[in-house]
Amino acid sequence: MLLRPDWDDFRLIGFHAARVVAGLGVLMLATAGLAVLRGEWNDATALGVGAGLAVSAGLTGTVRLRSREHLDWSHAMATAAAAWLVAALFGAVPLFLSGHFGGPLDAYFEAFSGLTGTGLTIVQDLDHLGASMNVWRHLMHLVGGLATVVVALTVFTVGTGQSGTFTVGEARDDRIMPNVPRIARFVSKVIATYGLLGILALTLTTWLGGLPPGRALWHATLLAISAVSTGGFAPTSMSVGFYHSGWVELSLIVLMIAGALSYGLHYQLWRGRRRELFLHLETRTLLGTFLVVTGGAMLGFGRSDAFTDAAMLFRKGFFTMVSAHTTTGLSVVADRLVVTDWGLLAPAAMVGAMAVGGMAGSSTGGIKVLRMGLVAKSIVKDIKTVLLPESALVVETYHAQRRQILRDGPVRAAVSLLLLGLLTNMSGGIVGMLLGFDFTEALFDATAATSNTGFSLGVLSPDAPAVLKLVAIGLMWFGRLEFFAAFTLFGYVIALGRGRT
Amino acid sequence: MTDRDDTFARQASRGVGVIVLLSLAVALGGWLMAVVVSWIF
Repeated sequence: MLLRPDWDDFRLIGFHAARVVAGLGVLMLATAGLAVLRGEWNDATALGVGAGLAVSAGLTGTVRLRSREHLDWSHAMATAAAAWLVAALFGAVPLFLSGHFGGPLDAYFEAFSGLTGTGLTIVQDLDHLGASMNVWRHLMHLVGGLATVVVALTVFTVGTGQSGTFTVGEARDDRIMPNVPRIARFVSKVIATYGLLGILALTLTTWLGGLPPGRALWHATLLAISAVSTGGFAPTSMSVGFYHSGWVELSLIVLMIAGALSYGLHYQLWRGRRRELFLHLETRTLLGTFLVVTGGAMLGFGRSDAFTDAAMLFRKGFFTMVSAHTTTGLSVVADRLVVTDWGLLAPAAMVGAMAVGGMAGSSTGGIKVLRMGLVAKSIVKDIKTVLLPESALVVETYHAQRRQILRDGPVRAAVSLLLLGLLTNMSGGIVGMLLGFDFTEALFDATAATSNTGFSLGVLSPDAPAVLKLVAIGLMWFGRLEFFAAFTLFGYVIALGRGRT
Repeated sequence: MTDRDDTFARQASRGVGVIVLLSLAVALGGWLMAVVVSWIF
């Protein structure tokens, strides 16, 4: 039975979504200021118009829908689902006005990809896009990444197989808001620290690689934002391949790994609890899945003769696998080379890495290693149950901030998400195939979209059919919301007609 | 040491230090994997 939502429910969801839009507008206004300082008048106008629309719509919504009701868990899930859809609408305005997109849908796709930390891009002539508009693309990654982590550590701790926020001892508060500012503050500190260190390292390495100091700083800033928020956008169309620098790639590897770790784990490490890194189910599972997919990819590179010397295997192959497993999507090779030169095993390993993704409680996409670990533990428990006498009591434990007993609830949620992830990837591949694309290439791009990774084999391009772009937006949305938040919003809409009062 | 003595800089250096070392260890593992695979093929 569904309870029919009333006006107050929608008012509350609208109020919080409007606050998000207003915040995005303020950020857009700051970017417009940067465009003015740089004398990029077209971009300044486009960003100014976008900021004006977002701030006025956001403030109007905030004032007219003001509500003192407490945000409960289902409201928060529906708000997250609605906010991503609406915020991208306003984020797309300056992109569309820049003239670098085929139409409003393309601009919306780009903004949605930016705000969900996906990194798939269908911009035209990226290398001549204004600097401030490029900054706007990357800032969407930054706020999208921050929002993802905060939502993952608060809203998505319910019913999605996660194991809590920063500390397991914390009881779940029926009200969400008290937790959000505290978590947002810590996450911002961590992102800022890695971002600044990344900018320093990348400025130095791109400068040593031949860029003038000013350009080196600009490239470094955008790359650091993209890597630490596991986004995938890059300042140039060649992505990281533009720099031809092993040191740039190594710096980005460190940032991508930092971004792929749970901010709950960062919290423990910042408090000096280093043991957590070695004991936590997620870090162990991540190491295991990373070894398997990277080993498979390396063998694939060797078998297909794509790369056979150690330096290229490391710089191209290893970097690509870190980028895929952290669901970042920064790339060091041209997209089509993956199809033409890499054989089957290496791209299949990339699909596996993207589908699994990083840790829950990070800005990565995918099913998440925590759920893979829980499912693996559950299989081990089932095998033990079969092997041991019927009277034996089989108890399986795992470490997540403390030793925990494996219970049915989190395992069931993990299996549900695993199945939903696989089904969504397959569905996207089938849609691509029905539209005339090769199934394996469509499956690759669908997996990239669902896991919020920026890799593409060219199926999602400016020339792709509009229906495919819409499907990809849907996949990015489902993936970012870990399915259940999207279902909650659907539930509200369905309950309007079928729910009981 | 009290919580007040645990400054932001100290917390950050602890957290970041561990992650940088971990990432470099992972990269070293990747390099060794690349050497082995290049030797096989």
